[in-house]
Amino acid sequence: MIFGGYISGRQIELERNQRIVQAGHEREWAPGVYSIARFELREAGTGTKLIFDHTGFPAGAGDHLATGWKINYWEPLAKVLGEWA
Amino acid sequence: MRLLVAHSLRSRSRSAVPPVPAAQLQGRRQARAAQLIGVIAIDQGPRYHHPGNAQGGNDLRRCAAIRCMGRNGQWPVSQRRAIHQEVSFSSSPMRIYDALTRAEQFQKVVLLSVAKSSVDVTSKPAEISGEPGGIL
Repeated sequence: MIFGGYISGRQIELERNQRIVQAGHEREWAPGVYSIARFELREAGTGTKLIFDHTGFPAGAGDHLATGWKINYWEPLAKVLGEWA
Repeated sequence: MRLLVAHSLRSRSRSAVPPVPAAQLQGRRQARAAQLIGVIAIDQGPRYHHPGNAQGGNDLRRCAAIRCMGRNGQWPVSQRRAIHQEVSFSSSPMRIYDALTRAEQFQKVVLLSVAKSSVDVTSKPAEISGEPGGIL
């Protein structure tokens, strides 16, 4: 459960420092609807290239989901990692 | 909605009206054209929809932005069925992996997210299992 319970799900596949695959359900989605989010982590020089794919979400949600990943994951993650002021 | 409005305009134009000078008629036509263009422009503006909430405004910034970003708002209907993004970080894969799979670290991400402004993210801190099959 993350974001105060707004999102719940299961870890599907975890390959330490390489891959995370999650099934996720948003509170407002119909019961039983889960999307699949895959995070691939690849070394890129001294840093990391995160390759992200998200499928299986309800029709019509794609654009705002895409924005949501940016403002709720990548940007705050960079701040937590000390990459952003 | 566009069809209904256009129909009402057409109906009015067909009604019996007294003859008017050409210049005035042209002015009316221009006014009608402008009115119709305005209606179409409004009608062709962004269509906002969110499956979870038919109410609410259409200002994207008002929405409770989580992964979905559309908790309280209405959003453009998107045809996108998959999302692919690539993001570069200067941190190591290990640090990123830990931040995404350790609850206490991920809660820090949550607290810096835009979503926190519209969702109570403190009373239920993140719970994330580090094992396949575990909950999140």
